[in-house]
Amino acid sequence: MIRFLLNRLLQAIPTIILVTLLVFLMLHLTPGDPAEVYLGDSRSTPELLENVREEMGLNRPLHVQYLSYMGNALRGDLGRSLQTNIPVTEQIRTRLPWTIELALSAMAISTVLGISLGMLAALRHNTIVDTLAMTLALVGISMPVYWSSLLLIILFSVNLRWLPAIGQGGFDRVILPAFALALVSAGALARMVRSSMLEVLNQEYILTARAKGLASAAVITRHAMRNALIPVVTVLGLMFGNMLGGAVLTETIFARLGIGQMYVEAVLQKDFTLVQGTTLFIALAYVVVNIFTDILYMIIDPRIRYD
Amino acid sequence: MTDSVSPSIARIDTNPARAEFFRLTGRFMRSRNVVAGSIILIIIIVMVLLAPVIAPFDPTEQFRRERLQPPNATYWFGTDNLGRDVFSRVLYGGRVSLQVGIFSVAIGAITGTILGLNAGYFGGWLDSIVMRLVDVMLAFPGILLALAIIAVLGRDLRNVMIAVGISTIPIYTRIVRGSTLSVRQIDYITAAEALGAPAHHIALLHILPNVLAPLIVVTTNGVAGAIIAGAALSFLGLGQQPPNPEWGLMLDEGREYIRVAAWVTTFPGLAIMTTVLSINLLGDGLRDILDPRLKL
Amino acid sequence: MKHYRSFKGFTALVMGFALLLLIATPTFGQETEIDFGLSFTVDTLDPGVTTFSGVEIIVGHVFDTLVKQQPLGVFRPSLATEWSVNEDATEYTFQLRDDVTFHDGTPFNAEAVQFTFDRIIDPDLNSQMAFSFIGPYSETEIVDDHTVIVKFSSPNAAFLDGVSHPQLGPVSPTAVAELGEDWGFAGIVGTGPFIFESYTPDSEVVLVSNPDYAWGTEEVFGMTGATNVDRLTFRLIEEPATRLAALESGEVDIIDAVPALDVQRLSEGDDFEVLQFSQAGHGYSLMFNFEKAPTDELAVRQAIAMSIDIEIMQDIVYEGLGVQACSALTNVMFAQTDVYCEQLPFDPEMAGTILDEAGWVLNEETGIRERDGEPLVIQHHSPARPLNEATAQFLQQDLAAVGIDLQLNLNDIAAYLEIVRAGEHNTQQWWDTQTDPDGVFRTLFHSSNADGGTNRNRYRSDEMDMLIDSAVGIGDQEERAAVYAEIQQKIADEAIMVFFNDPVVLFASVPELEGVTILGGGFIPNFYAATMGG
Repeated sequence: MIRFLLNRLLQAIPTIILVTLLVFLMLHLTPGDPAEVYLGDSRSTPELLENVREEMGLNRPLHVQYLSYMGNALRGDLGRSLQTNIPVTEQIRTRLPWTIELALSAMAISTVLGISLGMLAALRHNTIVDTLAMTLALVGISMPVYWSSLLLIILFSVNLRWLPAIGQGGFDRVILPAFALALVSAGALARMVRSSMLEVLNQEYILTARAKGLASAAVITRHAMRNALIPVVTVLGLMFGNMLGGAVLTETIFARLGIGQMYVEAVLQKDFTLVQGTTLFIALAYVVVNIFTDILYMIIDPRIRYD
Repeated sequence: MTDSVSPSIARIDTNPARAEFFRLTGRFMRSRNVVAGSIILIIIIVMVLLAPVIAPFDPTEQFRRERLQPPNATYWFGTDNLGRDVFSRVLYGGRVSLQVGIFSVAIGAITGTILGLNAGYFGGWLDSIVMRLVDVMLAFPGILLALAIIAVLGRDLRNVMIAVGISTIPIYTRIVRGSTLSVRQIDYITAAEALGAPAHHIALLHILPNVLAPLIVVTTNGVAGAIIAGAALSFLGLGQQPPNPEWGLMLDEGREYIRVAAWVTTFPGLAIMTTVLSINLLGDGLRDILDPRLKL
Repeated sequence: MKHYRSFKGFTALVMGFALLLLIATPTFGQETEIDFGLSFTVDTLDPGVTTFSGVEIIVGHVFDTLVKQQPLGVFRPSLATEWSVNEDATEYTFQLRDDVTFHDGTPFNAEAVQFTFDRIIDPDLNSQMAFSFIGPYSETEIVDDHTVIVKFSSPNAAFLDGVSHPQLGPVSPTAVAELGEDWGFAGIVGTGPFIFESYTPDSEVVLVSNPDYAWGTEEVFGMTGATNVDRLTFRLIEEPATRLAALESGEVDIIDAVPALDVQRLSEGDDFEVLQFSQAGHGYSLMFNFEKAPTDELAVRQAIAMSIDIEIMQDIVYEGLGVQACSALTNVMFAQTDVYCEQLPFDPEMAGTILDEAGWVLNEETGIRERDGEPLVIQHHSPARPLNEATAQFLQQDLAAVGIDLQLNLNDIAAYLEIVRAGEHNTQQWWDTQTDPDGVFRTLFHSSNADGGTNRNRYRSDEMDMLIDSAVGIGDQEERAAVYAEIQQKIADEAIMVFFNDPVVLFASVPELEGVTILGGGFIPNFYAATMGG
């Protein structure tokens, strides 16, 4: 187990280095200059622009910039945001808990919604329940998240006044954005659960178990669910990554602090250090989630072994 | 719709006669998804293709005195803030959104299939390199990729398609590689190899058809996802360049008016939803029919 | 004076304040908290460095200024009790209050003023807004502990305006040194009625009452001494629909930039009050690049200016809010004239004639005018934002009607800046807020800003430079206005820009919130004298 973990972590190193290198090149070789963005539409002269560029360290050769950045990063120093001068670690630290809160809540909601809808549909396969559940799931997938977010705000915050519309902190503030974000993945999950349940339910051992007269509930929980969960774990792992992308729009619309919203802003503003630092972070998170998914596989299905 | 199927007989049963009955109803249900999805999608595609004929107005023409009219006999879906006909814009906008859906998936699926097929079939160092690349791409935030591509190539439709397409390559690569790996072990392929059939021959004639089923399913869902992704890029101000309509752009332009003129966003929103829904229905139906493991 | 709520209701405000004192006693212990939903983002809270005009709203509560300006052009004592200007406006002498301390206990004195001003011109600070406000600053001479002479290398009649902005508000020298790089986000220390408590980037800035505040400009706020607002929170909510929802769901007490279409709906009910102020400075407009064909041609610029149905544009693009603009200066500004509207009215026929005479002949097939086979194409650039998109599409239809092909390039901010700074655009949209004409004209038409700076007209004229430079040195208001009239005449003659709309600044609040003072010519709400009744 420990060897497996170490192995996976070692494998991740070249991936992460490649990701940072790619991000670095993309940022630097695409049009747009952080110094220009910094000066914006305010009064400025070519000298001032040059001065800002110099201060941001943009006049050094590319390889020097990259190596010095990576050198500092290894020492735990991700530098300061080019646009706000706030340390990147500070930026990530203040936002990360909220993104995690949002992502976990959304995953919880979509897991509950998705698994129950999917199970329901599978167990009542080819009935009106199945059709309704799957239509609901499809509607969830088909709604653009920013549209559903706005509709949720208008319904629950403005008209019903049940839940606050903006910000973070406090359980009530995470419900609406998490729900908006969960809709999409809940739909996908429900479909996944349904088909893998159906598949498992028709495998011989289940049919045998049923033939032997085992109670339906027992069969479902003891045998079917366990096996049906494997693809679900895969989807959950992938979902966590997508959450970050989906969170961009959700966070913007709900005026919520978060990594996603900061990331898009940073990319648009060409805030090299902030983008680099966050990318490094996201890549790491991706690796960790992947390893975590593999461990979950092993727990659910003891037949799976990684050697 | 399901009058004929009562809940009691819908439960899994081992009685062979009943099982046969299920097979038939099941097929019917499955194909019904396909039928429903296809019909809606075809209607949408036809309407969108015939936009110049159907649309009552030029989608970019501003009838300024008629701005923000609620849906009525002249403007079926109302007018937007500049006095443009929302119905005509939804029709024309669909051309763009559907194009984004189809072409970006084509880019992703074709590239991904080639990569996955080769990686899965040849294995070894090729497989390692491809899978490492896929890892990098998956760990690489898709939004940055899209932004970078648009930054280099400029804000326009073609680039949106490229951006969305490239970001989906790893998904297809993984799926095709996985299926290739499992298909490779099947006897007749090992037999073909033993008989000395050339590699590209085996890959194209024997492996690809077997990989096709999961690929078609993922691709249909991918089209839906790409339409939403393209719309999201427009929403961030990076997609379709005004004044030409696109569903995501229409949502973006109308969101300031959502409280006083909900129709400006409702109709493009519904258009996205219906299209994505029908494509997903189709994909689901195809999955039930094509996926050889799912047999009832 | 109807735009300035605090002046209109000056007496009422004082009475209201007295009344509040009365009712404040029984409700003692009840904290007054105000939440402001702001549309702006924050780059830094360092007043000397920020480039975002919205930050002025926040830092204006933490930093006092030497003088206060209210209404525009009228200056009142604040940290400076009195002041005098020499003949050619190159030396300003300020008498400073001697009873003021910074929030960190550092005494406020001449040294602090000198430190603040010297810091702004330090090239390493890369200051822009504050740097513009301070003008041709050379040094601050300390006469005694509470007297300074601020000296300029050339005349600067706009300095009192500059020094009324918190960007030039004195900062605590000890705090700046102590916080180092973290100054501006981990803390800011001024002498104002509010103390910085916390700042969460992209989320909120929290200020609390400064209990030791024993001064204040009574003529502006109707009160002195510590504020009754215990806690002032700025919530940064960029998304307009969300900001409005936050007000309507009771999460904030006041918002800025109310979506124009919702104004009527909000005004009609009793639940909210909508405040409208004419904005000072410069409104919404269009810049022509003088160094790129075909906008380098007077005929083309004139034709474009006359092709735009400016009247209906007010309703369509600006939702009927504000008024048609007739100058680079908005209609509330000192020295504003209407000569532009008189010379370049909406007249598409005339526009066609002008283009015909210049050799741009309509190609019936394409609908686009041509000269020597070259179509009349204008490359229009702007950041992709809803208002810009509406404006650009509006222009496109009007220009197409006279045979001009306006091509839209609405891009992300970095791509936009790269192009317009390099001067590769034909036209771009503009908006600005200022309080002195000098700032407006210098920003837009002075050649020193033409190299990728704010003069994206890339307009270079020695005569214009001379006019702008001379006006800022004229102490006599009438004489100064005459020069500004000449500048505006020149703008109309050469059709340097097109002016669309003099905007209103919109706030919406719960009715319980009273006593908000609007500074900065209608742009900067101040909560020092605010109360939450009800």
